[in-house]
Amino acid sequence: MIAKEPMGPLSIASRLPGWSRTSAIERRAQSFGDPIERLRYLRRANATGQRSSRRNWIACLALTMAVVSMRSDAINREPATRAIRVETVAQPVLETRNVWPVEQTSDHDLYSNGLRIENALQISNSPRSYHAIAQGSGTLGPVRTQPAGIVFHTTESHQTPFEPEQTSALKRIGQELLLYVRNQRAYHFVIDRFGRVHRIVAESDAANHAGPSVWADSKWIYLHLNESFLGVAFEGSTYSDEAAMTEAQLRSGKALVEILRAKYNLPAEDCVVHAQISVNPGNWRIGFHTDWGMGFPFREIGLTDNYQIPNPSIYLFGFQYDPVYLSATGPGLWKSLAEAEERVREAAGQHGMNPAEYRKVLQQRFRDRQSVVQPKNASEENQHESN
Amino acid sequence: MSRTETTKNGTIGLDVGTSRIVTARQIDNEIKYDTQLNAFVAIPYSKMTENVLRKEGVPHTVDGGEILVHGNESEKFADLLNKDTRRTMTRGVLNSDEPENVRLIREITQTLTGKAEKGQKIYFTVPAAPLGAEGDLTYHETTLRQILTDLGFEVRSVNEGLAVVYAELESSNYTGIGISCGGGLCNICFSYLSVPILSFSVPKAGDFIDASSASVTGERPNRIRIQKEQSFYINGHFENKLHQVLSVYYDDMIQTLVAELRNAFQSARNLPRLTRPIPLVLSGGTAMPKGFRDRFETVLRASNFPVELSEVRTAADPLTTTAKGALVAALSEM
Repeated sequence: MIAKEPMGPLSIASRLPGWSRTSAIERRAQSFGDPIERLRYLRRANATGQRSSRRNWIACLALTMAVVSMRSDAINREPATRAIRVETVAQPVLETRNVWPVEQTSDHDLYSNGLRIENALQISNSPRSYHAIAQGSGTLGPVRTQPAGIVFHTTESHQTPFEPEQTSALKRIGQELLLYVRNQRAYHFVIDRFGRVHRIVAESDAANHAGPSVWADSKWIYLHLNESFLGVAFEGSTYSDEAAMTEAQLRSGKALVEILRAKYNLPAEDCVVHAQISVNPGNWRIGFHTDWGMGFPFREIGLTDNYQIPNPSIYLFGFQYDPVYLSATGPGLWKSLAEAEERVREAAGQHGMNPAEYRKVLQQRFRDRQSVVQPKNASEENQHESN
Repeated sequence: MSRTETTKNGTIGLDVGTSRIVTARQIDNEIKYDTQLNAFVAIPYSKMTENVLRKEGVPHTVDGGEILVHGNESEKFADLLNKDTRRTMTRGVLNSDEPENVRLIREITQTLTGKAEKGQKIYFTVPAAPLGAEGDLTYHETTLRQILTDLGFEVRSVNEGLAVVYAELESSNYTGIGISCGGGLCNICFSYLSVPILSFSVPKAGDFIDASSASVTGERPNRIRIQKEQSFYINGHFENKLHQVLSVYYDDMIQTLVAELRNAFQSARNLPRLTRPIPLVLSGGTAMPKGFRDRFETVLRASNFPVELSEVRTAADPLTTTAKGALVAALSEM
């Protein structure tokens, strides 16, 4: 015996069965001579305790709701409104601000939040036209021509120090980059290092920015995001000593996201980075491109921290990641990978399969979906699209 | 130690420690262990050297102009070349200063596990985060999970301290405190009826003792670790200067561990009410020197620890305890 200080009024951990059951569980556990059997019994008993506690909690909640509902009948009738409020609190939605065009010329657009978009380099591409796939049912949605979200990129182009003495070099490099991406029809917008926003591919058209890619929100699954998502690139490089984004780029990026979200009513959860959506169906790995795999300032740019969203290509279509991807990304994304893997394991268990077998089912599902929605030239996109 | 044959169900418990990687398998109702040092050493490449290593069955990898000898043999080569081994892990997690960490940990692990058979399960240990630093372990765990998945295993992880409980505390229905004192971390878990209630780590363990002692004595940390494990006795009497220095740093580590243990239990909110004293078990290579348990218990007794303990004991085989616990966790889920 080491010490006899009382433990104080400590409450039981929520994972444990109720006190009335613990002594019975302990007695029953003692009857197992084999330590493995004993541990198996205890873990099951505790799991049952959890489910039982959860059921009790749900029963209490149901009872409370019934009481509230009855009281509401007597006082006022707002059950539907209450339900919506609860959902809003649990999953906050970032409202889009009201931003509108103030001035539109062939040279530039000026918006009410102060952002000026340069139009001199605008070029057309194939008009946007795509189907999203309904979550759950897997049915094809109607043809859409409006973007569903934004993919953020870095240009991964040559960099020079962001210093006053380098101004002419910065301008020259930026101009060469703009001509290159215009030629490639690589993005819808490029934000140069001085924070100037250049429109490249027309918003009504697809741009070659995403390549084979997957994203999903709570309602829809999107494949091949060239068509469905706008591509916004920040001039910068993950692999240089320079910061990947200047202060000016951050300010302009925030204003541009405000404009695009307001214009197309884009949910925050559909504004993601290239590293989250890029896949390689050739080897079933995610992250053919890894730009903004870490350090994208989601919150500063007015979005939720979308790094935390479990990667849909893993849990919906059986893609996997490798150490190279991990080394090119950051802790925010790693958590989302672990959660996506856990979803795969859980779903596999529910289907009575091991995860490897279940992944094959998911991969076949990807092939099936892809054959329906894949653009004609998509198979070559990983070789051609920009960062 | 040679690789044992695959068990009837093939399930493996894997302890990925800063110093060693240990596997546990059940074969004919016995648990068999294999161990490799989680370390490597680089030697200059020559065709002849590579042929000799291959002929002698020394695990190695050719990397450009170097041969990386890994696992148990690395220590001999390091001693021979009068240099320190390089480590894939530090402070309980992947060593970010070592560019070859992922590759080498894969090689060493594969030496022990081989490639998986279809549906073969592996449970590997992961440390708990130090108190107040939750979230730092995601990269480590995710990377190990990926390495093992790539080898073809069905992979699950188990907390290292909880693995000690699963290995040693069946007689108390898996209620008690398990502590694993490894190279990089001391991992602590309080379990109640097999449910982990409180787990955390203390980033002061064997490597701290080795490095601190090395800086005082001028010896290489690798040599200090060998002497520490082979002939050191914590009893207040010193055979030589090294033993005196080791005692000082061991005492520092024990004082820190006990202080963190006491603080964690005093500040925990969701502890269950205990109706009887609980056992505490010590494991890991750093807990192996004779006298460690006695010194730990003495310091703990003096610390006003808020939980009544029935016993403080050392695990049956401190070096393999966590691997055994990982195997027990796996078998209990089958």
